[in-house]
Parts: sequence; structure tokens; C-alpha cells
Amino acid sequence: MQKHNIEAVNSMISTEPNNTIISAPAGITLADLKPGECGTIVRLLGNSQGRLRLLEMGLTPGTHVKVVRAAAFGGPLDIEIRAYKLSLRREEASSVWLGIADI
Amino acid sequence: MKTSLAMNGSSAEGEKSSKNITIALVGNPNCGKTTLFNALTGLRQKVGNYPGVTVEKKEGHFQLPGGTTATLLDLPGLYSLTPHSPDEQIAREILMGILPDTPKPDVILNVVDASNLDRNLYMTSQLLDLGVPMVIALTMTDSTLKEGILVCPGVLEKAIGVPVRSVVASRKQGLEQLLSAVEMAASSMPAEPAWPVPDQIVDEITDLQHALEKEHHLQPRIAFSEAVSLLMQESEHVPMQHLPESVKSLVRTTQEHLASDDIDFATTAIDARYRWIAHIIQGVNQPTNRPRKHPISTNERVDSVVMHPFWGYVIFFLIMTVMFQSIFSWVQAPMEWLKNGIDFLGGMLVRHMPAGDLRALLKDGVLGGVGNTIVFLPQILLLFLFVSLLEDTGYMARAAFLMDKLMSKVGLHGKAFIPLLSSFACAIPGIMATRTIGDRKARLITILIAPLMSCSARLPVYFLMTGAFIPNRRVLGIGSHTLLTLPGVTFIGMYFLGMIAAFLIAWMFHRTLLKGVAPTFLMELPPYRVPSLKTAFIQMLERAGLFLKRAGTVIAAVSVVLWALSTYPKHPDLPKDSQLAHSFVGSIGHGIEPIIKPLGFDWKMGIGIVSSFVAREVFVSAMGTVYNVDDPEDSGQVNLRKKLQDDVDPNTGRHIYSALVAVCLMVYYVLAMQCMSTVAVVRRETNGWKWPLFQVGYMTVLAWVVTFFIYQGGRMLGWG
Repeated sequence: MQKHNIEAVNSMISTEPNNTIISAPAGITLADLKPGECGTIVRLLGNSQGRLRLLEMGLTPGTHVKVVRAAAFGGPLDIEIRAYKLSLRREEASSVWLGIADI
Repeated sequence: MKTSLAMNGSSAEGEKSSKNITIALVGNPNCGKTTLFNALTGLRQKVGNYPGVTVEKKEGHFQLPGGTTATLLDLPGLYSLTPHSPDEQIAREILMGILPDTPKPDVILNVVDASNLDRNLYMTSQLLDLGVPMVIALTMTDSTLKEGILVCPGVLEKAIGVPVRSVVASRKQGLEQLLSAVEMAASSMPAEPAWPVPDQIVDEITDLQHALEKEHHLQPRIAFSEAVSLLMQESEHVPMQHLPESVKSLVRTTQEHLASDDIDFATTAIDARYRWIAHIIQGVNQPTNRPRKHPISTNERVDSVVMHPFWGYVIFFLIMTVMFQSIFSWVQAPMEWLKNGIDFLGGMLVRHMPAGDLRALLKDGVLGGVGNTIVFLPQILLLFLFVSLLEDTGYMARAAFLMDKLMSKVGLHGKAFIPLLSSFACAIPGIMATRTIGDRKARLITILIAPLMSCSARLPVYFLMTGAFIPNRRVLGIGSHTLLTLPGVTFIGMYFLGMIAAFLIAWMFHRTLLKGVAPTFLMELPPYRVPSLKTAFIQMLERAGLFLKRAGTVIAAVSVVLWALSTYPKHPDLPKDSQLAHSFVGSIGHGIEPIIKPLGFDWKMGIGIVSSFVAREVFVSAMGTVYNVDDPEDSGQVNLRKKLQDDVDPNTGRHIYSALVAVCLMVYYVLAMQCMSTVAVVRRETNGWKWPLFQVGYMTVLAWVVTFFIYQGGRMLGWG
């Protein structure tokens, strides 16, 4: 259902040739993004320890985040945040809720 | 705890008057901290016991421009001072001045990566809370300039309120200015906490701060920092055992009260820090008029190949294969030189010393034992060089990314990959590197399987066996160029056997003994960098020093004892070639022979296995000593390789060693523990004897069972 949402939005937004940044709709998590897509963090759920680490690494509400690539066989995600690259497992990424990027 | 706190308040002033200051070097991982540490201290550094991946506490001494002597403490690379793992806990205690036997730092030298200010300044804001004078060393300004951004130290200095000096440590630029700033800072007032504490949490912090000052005798600034840290974490995770009961209950009630008001303390506090950072960065980054190259682009191009879902794995296995094959083939020449040198010394002894027990002790015991081990120095150095290059270029993190799915299947943390890879060099730094893993169970599993990775101490055994018994046939090649030889394949096979065993055992423990959810995996993918040769060189030197020290102490001692046990009691009436069998060591060997016979081992190998429980490479030195003592001609140093090939069972007339026995011996050494130092480190890291003893037990059983099946299976197939 969520994937369907993204595809709908993808087709609505015209992408520039050099800069294929696509905004994600509300109600999805970081784990739902495909490589190349991005969004803005709204809130973090999940267990307190993992959540605290994510926050400290800069995944605070209002921050822009982009999925660069995903590892094979459902492996970790490679994301770009605050101008650096971070990798995290999908389980962790699914605790990061996103809203529409407000650039 | 309390006494050390009280003492530290006054000891800081005492040290200043004697003109000796302690500087704590703190920074994020991959920020250039190690390069700066090496540039400042050169070879005048004291490393704990083993070179790890900056996990162990390192210390260096030097003089500041104004004549003050300084001790530089290199703390582990950290993203935050919140105690998620032992690394952060130790760093926090050092900085607060409550770690026993470590003086409270007079100055914090915070290394900040200019190409990643946002995240680097997060810990800076935590460090500023502590109320210790601070200086910032701004690194990587050369690489931001290439991207078209000028990070101005002056503006940063004004915004943060502490001295900021730009350095290029690899070219020794800016070090003088940095050290002058540190010297000045040591006698000046610390800066105020920088981040604006949000109104909705300020009262809670202040109340807890006052309680910590009064009940726990902390200085006000330390108390402030501790209060924020305590409230950030959920109560069940906070390490509160040191705190008085009144403070504990205050933390609990404050957290309940925050929860009922629907205030998320962690998010509020962290967000406030990042807001402060955003405010600072606005004024600091100045675009230059050079064409702006996107910072990610070059990296991205490399990553799209190296982290590719298919080619990434091909490259990974290629790198591993090249690494191990070259360790095998590149070192033949230097090994020969070392060997010739030792033979020469042995010949000198024979020529210039009268025959007798003393000469036999020096030649057979010391030279035979230590000499046979020292020849393996070249490949140990090469292995450490490879590991440090993989680490410094940033490839290690990519490999961890590729391997994480596999790791998570067996309950390992993705980060466990780095300790496991370091364990190829030596399990000790590997086990110490597990401190970066926060989850206790995941860390314990990593510690338990780390010694299954083929460490450099096994190389001597592998070398001796493959060199003597595996035919040097070509397996793969193009035209006249041989790419892969049979000994090379055997060699790689031993490494893979260790890895496969490690994963299976991890999976087993994950399912049974240490059940739990797969832990998290949060890892930075640092930009690729040209590795510093100096750093690699220093690490190699450290390693060589430790290896030689061990050869000169432990191995020499074991060799001498072994020589004595294999020479006495003397039986002048017996023929020379059955003397050894009737010596003390002969009885020990014969004693354990029934246990190892099903594995294809004879009593002489038994001697090797028993004496190499101290350290695996002792097997080779033990064999050297045993066969030297057993040498009827007593002609200089024996060629151990040839001796083993020629050794014949007097009862059956058959060769004792065959390719199958050699493989079995190697397999035994892949899987058995056979390392006292590792046992000691595991005891220290797990706080008790339970886990190290368990580890020795399971590994010995595993080694015996697997070797048994290989030997018996091999014989049934007619390979014996």
C-alpha cells in the first residue's frame, strides 16, 4: 500500500535530469524509500537505546534524509544525512517516520 | 569512587605547577585523530599491549612550545559521550576525571572534521558541557577546499568560544600553532556550555544537577553534563550503580514526570544541540569562487561498484584472495634471509664453542626455538599492513555493509565484522575492538568466535605444513604466469574453514546459549581516503616489537624448558636416536599419544600441541627444539622441513607425516584455542573465568571432533 503511494507521487513529480530527488508522501518510514528517494524525518519510534543512537547521529525531526542504495538480500540501507553517509538495518530504518520534504 | 573524585579536584592544580599537563585527544571516528596523534607524538608513544583500531588507550609524551611537558591521551573514536558502549563509558570517565589511575585532563583537544561539521560538532557541544578548557583541531580543511567550501577557523572560534586551529597533520601543517593554543588553554578558564537549554527541560536538569553536586560530590559543570546524560537514557539502561539512592530515585521520578507531561527529553535536548550547530554552521562555511564539485560524487562512483549487489561481493572475495595469496608468496625471499642468518649463528656456535650442554642449550633450545619463530616476522608484518590499509582507506566499512545480512543471520552485529577481520592479524586486538558493540550478547558471541579466525600466530604452523607436505602444483594461471598454487589454495582453505566454523558456532550460540533479538547496526560509511603510510608504518613497527618481545620472552622460555625436558634424564647407555623418547618430554608425549592418535598425530606432535598451548607459533619452535635435540649428527641447525619429511616410525617403517596428517594438524590449529594471551584478554573483557574456560573447552572439543572426522575419513578414502 505504501509502495503504491510512492509510485503515485513519483509519477506526479517531474524529475530534473541531473537531480532526481523525489519527495515522499506522509505516513511512510525510511525503510519504504527506494534508492534515490528522500524525505524529512517527522519522528522516531522503536526501542529507546536504538532511538537515542539514531537521534545522536543526527536523525532528528525536521532533518532531510536520502536513501542512496540498499544492500542485496534485504541487507542494510546506505543513507545520506547531514552531508555524510550512514548505513543502518531495515528494522532500524522502519522506526524512522517521514513526512513530505519541504524544500 | 568518591575518594578519587575528591582528590581530582586538587590534583589538577598540583600538576599545573609542576609544568606537566594532560591532554585528552577526543574526536569522531575517521576524523583524522590517529594521524594527528602520530604527527604529535611520532614514535614516542606508549600503546597498551596491542595495536587495535584505536580502541586501546594510547599515550604519547612531548614538549609544548613554552616548555611545558605534555601527556597526550588518545581516547577511542566516539560520536557521542552518551554511554552506549564500554568505549563511551571509559572516555566519559576519563574526561570527568573519575577513572582510577588516569589524571583528569587539563585540556581537551577536540578533533573536528571540517568536511562533516554537523555531526562532529554534536560531541563538541557535549564536551563543552564538562567545563574543561578546550581547543579544537580542525582537520580535512584541504578536502573541503577541493569541494569548494572554505571553513574559516576564525569564525568557528568566535561562534564556539574556544580556540580553533586548522591542521593538516599528514604534512605537519599548523601543529606549532595548535600546541601553543593548547598550552595557553591549560591555564585559562573553560568556556560556558554552548547550547541553549530549552525551557521545558531546564528545571529538571538543574534539580538533578544540584542533587548530583550535593549527594555525589561532583563539580557543578560535571554534574550538569551527568544530569543531561542520565535523563536522556531510559531508566533501565542507565548505569546508575555508582549513584546514591536519593539521586537514583530523583532520576526515576523526573523521568516519570517528564513522561506524564509528554516531554521527550532525548529529542528535545539533542534537537537543541543540533539547532546550536546549525546556527554556527551558517556563518562558517564560505563558498569559494572555485567551481564546486559535489562532495559525494567521486565517492559515489567508487561506491556504486564496490557496494554493488553483485560486483561488490566479487571485489570483496578478490581482495581477500589477493591478500592471503600475497602473504604466502611475497615473503619467501625475506624468510630465506632470516633463515640464513639464523643458520649462520648456529654454525658460529658449533665452530666457536666447545661441545656440551651449554652449547646444546643455546643452539637447540634458544636458536632452534626462537629462530624458527622469528622467520615468520615478514608475513605477520604484511598481514598487519593489509588490515591497517583496509581500515584506513574506508573499505572496511563497505565490507561490513556487504556482509551485514550474513552477520545478522547468525546474531552478530554488523560491526562485528571489523573485530573479526582484525582477528586475522591477532585475536587480542580483535577482542578488544568488540568494545564498540553495545549489545552485550552480540558482543559476547563475537568474543567467543573471534579466535576461530586464523590469526598470524597460526601462519608458522600453516607454513611449515604446506611448505613441507603440500606439493607445489599450479592450480590456476594464465600462460606462464601462475596465479594460484596448491599450497596457496590450502592456505586460503584454512582461512575459510575458520570463518565457516565461526559463523556456524555463532549461529548455534545465537539459537541456544545467548538467545536474543539481532542487535542494531548503525555505521558511518566514511569517505574514501588515501591511507597514511606513516600510520601503517607505526602500526607495523608496534606489531614487530610485540612479536619480537614475545619471541624473546615467552617463546625463549618455553624453548629452554622444552630443551631441558627433552634432554634430561640422560641415558648414556641408550643409542642416540632413542634418547628423546626416554626423556621427560618423551614421556609426556607418549602419555597423551592415545588421545591424539585417532587424529593421526604421534607423540612428537603431542609435545608440540602441549607446549603450544601458551601460543600457537610455539608448535614450530617446539618441533625445532625437539628435532634438534634428536639430531644424531649434531651438525649445525637442522632443516626442520626436511626432518619432518624424513621422519619415519621405527615400528612400521612408514613416514609419520603425510599430506593428510599435515592437513589434520592445520585443521586442529584452525579450531583449537592454544593461546594463553587470548584466554587472559577474554577473562578481562568478560569479567570472569566462566566464558574463557567455556571457550577453551568448546574449541578443543570442536578441534578434536573435526580433525578426527577428517583423518578417519581421509584414511577410508585411502589418502593416509
